[in-house]
Amino acid sequence: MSNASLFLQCLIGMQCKDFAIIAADQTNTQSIIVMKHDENKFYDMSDHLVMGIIGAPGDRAQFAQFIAKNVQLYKMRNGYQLTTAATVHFTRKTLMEALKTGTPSMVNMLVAGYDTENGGQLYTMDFLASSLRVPFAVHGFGGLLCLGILDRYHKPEMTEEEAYEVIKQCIREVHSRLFVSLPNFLVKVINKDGIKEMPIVTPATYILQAQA
Amino acid sequence: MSILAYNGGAVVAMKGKDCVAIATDKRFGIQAQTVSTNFPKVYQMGPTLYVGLPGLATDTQTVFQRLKFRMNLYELKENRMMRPKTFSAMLSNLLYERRFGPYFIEPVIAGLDPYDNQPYVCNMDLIGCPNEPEDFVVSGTCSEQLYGMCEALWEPNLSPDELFETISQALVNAADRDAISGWGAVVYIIEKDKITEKHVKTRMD
Repeated sequence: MSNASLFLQCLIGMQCKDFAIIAADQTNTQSIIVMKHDENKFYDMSDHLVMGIIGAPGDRAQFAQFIAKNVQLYKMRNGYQLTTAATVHFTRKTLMEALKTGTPSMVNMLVAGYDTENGGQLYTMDFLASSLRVPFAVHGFGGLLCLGILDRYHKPEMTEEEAYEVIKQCIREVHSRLFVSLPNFLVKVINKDGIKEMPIVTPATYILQAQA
Repeated sequence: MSILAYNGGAVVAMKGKDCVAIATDKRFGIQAQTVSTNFPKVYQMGPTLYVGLPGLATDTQTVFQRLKFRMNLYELKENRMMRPKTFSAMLSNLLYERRFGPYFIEPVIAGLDPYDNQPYVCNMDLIGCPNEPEDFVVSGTCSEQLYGMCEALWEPNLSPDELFETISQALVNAADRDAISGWGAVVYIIEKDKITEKHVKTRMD
C-alpha cells in the first residue's frame, strides 16, 4: 500500500491570535521497519512560514523542497516575501497540477505562518490539493485521537505556553492509544519574531513533568 | 464511495418573484471526518450573480479560480457585465473541455440578469450539461432530500422574505438527513438592487 504513510505518520497544528504552533512525529519507516526516530518533517519556507509535511518520504522531500526553493526564488527576484496565503495558493496550485497531470505527490500538509495583518495562521492541505484555513487541524490516524482534545481546549487567545501544553496532551494520547509507535514529536512555534523550535516531546517528557 | 461524495456538501437555488436565492452548507470533511465548519461552496461572481460548486473540494477551489480568471478576462475585453446565461455557457464550456477527465463538481448558478432583471437558475452535471428550469435546482450529496423538500415547499411568485424561508427550510431539513452535509448554512437572497446574506444555524452533529 503506497499511501499507508499518509495515515501512519502524524501532524498536529493550532492557530492562535499571536502565533501558530505545529507538531510532527519524527519516525521514518520503510514498510514495517522503523529506520529512524529523529527525522525532521518540517521545512522552512521563509522566516515566518513553516510547512509540516507527511507522506511517502521521497514525495515529502521533493515536494517540500520544490515549494521552499521557489518561495526563496520569488523573494530574491522581487525583493519581498510571499504572504502565508500566497504561499499556500502556490503550494495548492503546484500540488493540483501534479495531480491532474498524472504524477501525484502523496503528501498531506499543515502550513503555519505569521504575518502582522492576520496574526497566526494555519492552513491544512491534503493530497488532493484541497486547502483551507482552520483554527486547528490534524493529519494521520494519530491526529484522530487529538481532535477531541483540540475541540475542547483550543482557544484563539491562548499563550504559547498554554498551546504547547495542549499539544503535549495530544501527543500523550497518541503515545497511549495509537497502535503505531511514534515516540518523538518535533514542535515549532511561529510568531512575530520568526520560527522557534520548542523542546521535543517524548515519553520521557511526561516522566520529567511528573517528577517536577 | 463516489469521489463526488468524498468531501460532502449541498447547494440549492430557487426562483421567486423578481428575486432568486441560493444557499449552501458550510461543512468541509474528508469522508466522515469533519475538518472545518467554515467552507461555503457558493461564490459571488458579479453584482447579482452567484455560483455554487459542491463536489470534490479541490475541484471546487480550482474551478472557482479558473472561472474568476475567465470572467475577469471577459469583462476587461467586453467592458460590460456578464449575463447569467452567458456565465452558464462559459462554465459549461470549461467543464466540457475536461470531458474525459472531469472536475468532480456539479455546479448551480443563480442570478438576476443585469440588463432585464429576469431571475435565472441553472444546474449542470460534472461535464457541463446545463438544465434551466422555471422553479429550483439542487446539487450535492443530499440532492434527493433537497428535491423532496423543494418539491413540497416551493410555489410560484414567492416574495424575497418567503423565498428566504422556503430555501432555508429546504436546505436545513435536507442536510439534517445527510451525514456529510450541514454544520451551518449561508443563504443569499438576490434582488434587483439588494443582496441579503444570512447565516443560518443548523444542527451541529
